[in-house]
Amino acid sequence: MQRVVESWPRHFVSERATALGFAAEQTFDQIIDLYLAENGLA
Amino acid sequence: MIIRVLVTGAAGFLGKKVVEKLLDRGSLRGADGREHAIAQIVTTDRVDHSWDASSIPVAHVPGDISEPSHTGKLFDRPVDSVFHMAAALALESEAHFEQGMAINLGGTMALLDLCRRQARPATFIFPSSLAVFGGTLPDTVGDHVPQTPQTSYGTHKSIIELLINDYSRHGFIDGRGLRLPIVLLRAGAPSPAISDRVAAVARDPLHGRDIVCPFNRDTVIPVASGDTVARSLLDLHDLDAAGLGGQRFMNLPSLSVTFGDIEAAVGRKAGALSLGHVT
Repeated sequence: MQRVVESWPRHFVSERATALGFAAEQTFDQIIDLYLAENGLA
Repeated sequence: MIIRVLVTGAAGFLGKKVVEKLLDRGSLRGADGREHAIAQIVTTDRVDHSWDASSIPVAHVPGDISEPSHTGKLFDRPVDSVFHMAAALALESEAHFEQGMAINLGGTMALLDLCRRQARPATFIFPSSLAVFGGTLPDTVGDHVPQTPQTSYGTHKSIIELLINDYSRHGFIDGRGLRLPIVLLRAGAPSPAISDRVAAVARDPLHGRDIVCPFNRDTVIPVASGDTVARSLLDLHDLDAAGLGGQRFMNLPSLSVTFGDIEAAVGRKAGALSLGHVT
């Protein structure tokens, strides 16, 4: 599995998508907070 | 004008989120550029699923999209928008080559052909994947890095990108897609996907379960939440087609983290939760 994960892009970007307003979370804490809220753990 | 929407793979992690977002939003932008109410959502998946009561009727039609008799039923009335979330994932496509081809390529080609036969082109939203890239990659991968997939799953996604660009060029559909990073965090029972093993590094300790991290702490991966991905796919649907041109796919900008970052972020919840240990 480590080998597969290392074959993935490390930094995944798109100037075009960013210009169109697409964006991901800024921190992993935000992803965890979403998960906790969705699953009644917050 | 009212909109009839088809969501495939609707019982999966992302498919469910797309349906929930559609129900929340209640409308989509039509080909005329105006906002139109969603009149009906038809969902399909290999497994049965029931949706909570909502103001928009949702009809679930269980079945396999690699079966022509099933896909034909989904188009018994005109479909205005398709969110094609169904897929055989990477491990399944590697272990069962014919099944991966049948679902990912056969199923998608059947849907595209059914769309082509409609009087009015449907907006066709497709989640592609970072798996279209592979081999020796630059540190930063943008839209213009050559696609050299190293898995059957990545190859299927790359082929479908080409098909959707071509169907859009012909005017058979208005196709659009985002190449997704690793989508986290998936709730529920473990699934046979590498992305789920990644998710488990955060998910298990949040539920108080110990886990042995099978990845190096300094390995960097690009991630986004399922919520962001589902919202982005609906936003992509509503973009003005004139701005898309002939290339209908782009990477979804992502957050790059190491497994060490994930472990640290989970650790910051120690005051609020009884955490499992990551070793």
